[in-house]
Amino acid sequence: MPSNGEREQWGSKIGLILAVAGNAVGLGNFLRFPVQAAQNGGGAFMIPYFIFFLILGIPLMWIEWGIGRHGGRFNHGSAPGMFDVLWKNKLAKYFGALGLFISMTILIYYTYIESWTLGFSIFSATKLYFNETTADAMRNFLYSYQGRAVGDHFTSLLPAYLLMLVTFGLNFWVLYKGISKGIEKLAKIALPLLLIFALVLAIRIMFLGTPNPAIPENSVWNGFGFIWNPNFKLLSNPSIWLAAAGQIFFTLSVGMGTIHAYASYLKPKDDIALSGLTTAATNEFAEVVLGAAIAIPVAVAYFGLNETQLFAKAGAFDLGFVSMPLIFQKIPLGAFFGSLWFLLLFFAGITSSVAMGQPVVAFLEDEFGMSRGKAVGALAVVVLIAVQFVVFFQKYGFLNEMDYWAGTFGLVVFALIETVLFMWVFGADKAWAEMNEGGDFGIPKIFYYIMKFVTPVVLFVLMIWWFIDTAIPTLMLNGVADQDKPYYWGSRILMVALAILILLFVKKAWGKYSNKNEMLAE
Amino acid sequence: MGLTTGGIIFLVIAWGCVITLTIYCFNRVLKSEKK
Repeated sequence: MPSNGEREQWGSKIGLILAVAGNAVGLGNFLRFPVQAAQNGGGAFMIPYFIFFLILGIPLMWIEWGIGRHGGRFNHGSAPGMFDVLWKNKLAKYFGALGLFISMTILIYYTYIESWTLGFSIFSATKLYFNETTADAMRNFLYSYQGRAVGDHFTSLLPAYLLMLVTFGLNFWVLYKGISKGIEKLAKIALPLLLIFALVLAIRIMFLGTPNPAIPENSVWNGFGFIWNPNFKLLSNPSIWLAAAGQIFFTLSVGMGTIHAYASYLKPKDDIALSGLTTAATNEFAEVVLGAAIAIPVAVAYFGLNETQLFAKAGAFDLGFVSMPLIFQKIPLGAFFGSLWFLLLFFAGITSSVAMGQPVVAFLEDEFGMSRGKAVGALAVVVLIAVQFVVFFQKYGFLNEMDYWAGTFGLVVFALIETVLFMWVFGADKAWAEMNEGGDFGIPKIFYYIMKFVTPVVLFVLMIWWFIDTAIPTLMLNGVADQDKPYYWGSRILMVALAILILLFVKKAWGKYSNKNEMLAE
Repeated sequence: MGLTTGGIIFLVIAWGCVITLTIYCFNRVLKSEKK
């Protein structure tokens, strides 16, 4: 909160929607979704995907907007304070601390990944990788940039490190400028631009047809077929449904505490229903329409189905930073399209990363009365110390561990807690009234029952399944090379340290409250 | 292989739903901003 006591506000509804949509639209829309769809039943994947959009994605979107705006009435711009007003129990604020931990931890490593996209857009424009014409060579280019291998172009981590600093600098600058002059302004520029870039790329790719007539099966349309041709047999496999639930979860950026933070700057009678739905629709447009029309179709056109499947299995980074650069070297104006692709990813990334910085900034402003500059400065100190480990130990898997606990498992835990708190502890009727207050349309009544009964059950099942299927093996370091294990433990120690730091700050903030109340009482 | 009939149907339905929803939402948002 600014030192004059007035809470910041969004400049316009469109600005807010673009900001929350920017939070949701990220690298996953363009890299994760197409791979998930292609590997989990193709067009048939859209059946569980759409179902979970209705019973998980949209309900959580509205719940988080509701919790956020409600907390904002009490000048709480972050989850600890928001949970405290929902549930008058000493523990509430500590559950809310998860919203600070998750967003800050993801900020640390996500921004580093975002800096790669900035780097690669420069490398595309300057054609720096344009002689790396095989997958191995291009992978080596990426790895040498990341300090994981020795290469011709990068002899040290210095370029990656400098680009990381520039990217963090940009993020902190936007956060420092505040809600409307920083975040909203960025969203109004970056989101339309990234959608235009994606549209240009998608249209260009659609006209590629069959680049090599001698290999007619390598075509854009076979790429579309890979994503969209339905394989209904796979629907009987529970893992397809889990993959769809996971994708909906990640794509809408729920469970991080970021949507709450943005919504806290709404006025009590500002609309949530239409704004939340519009945000989700924008994200789905970026994902289902644009995201599905770029990386996979063009990869199949140039490399064929089998090799594209290998790229997809190897992960999002291989698809985005290996396969795509190889393609840009082959197409006319490849430098231009390459820059466009990586700038699109950069804009998608930065609109998400600033959202991840906002909860901690708001917490320090609202609960400690810090100025925005000091709050951003404090966040910057912690984040820039923590990111050193991510940059220098990335090759040992340091980042992977953070991505799992904060960026995967933590999300579903937080989402379950907030849903139960809002719909059961605070009360479904009060929560429903809050979400519908000021609405430009009434949320259909069926969602009352979905949010109260269906969403928590789905989240619980997801959490238990992921706990058994992935959390336990991750905890036991299954599949991790012995020489990497100390770094995985280092990552855990860092996360525990961050969690303790946050809990101490939350405790201190409420200590200040109770002292203030005692003084007022006297 | 290309896009099968099933693939075309799923693509058209998915794109149709998403594009319709997006246009509908933004149309309503812009109208409410004007008010």
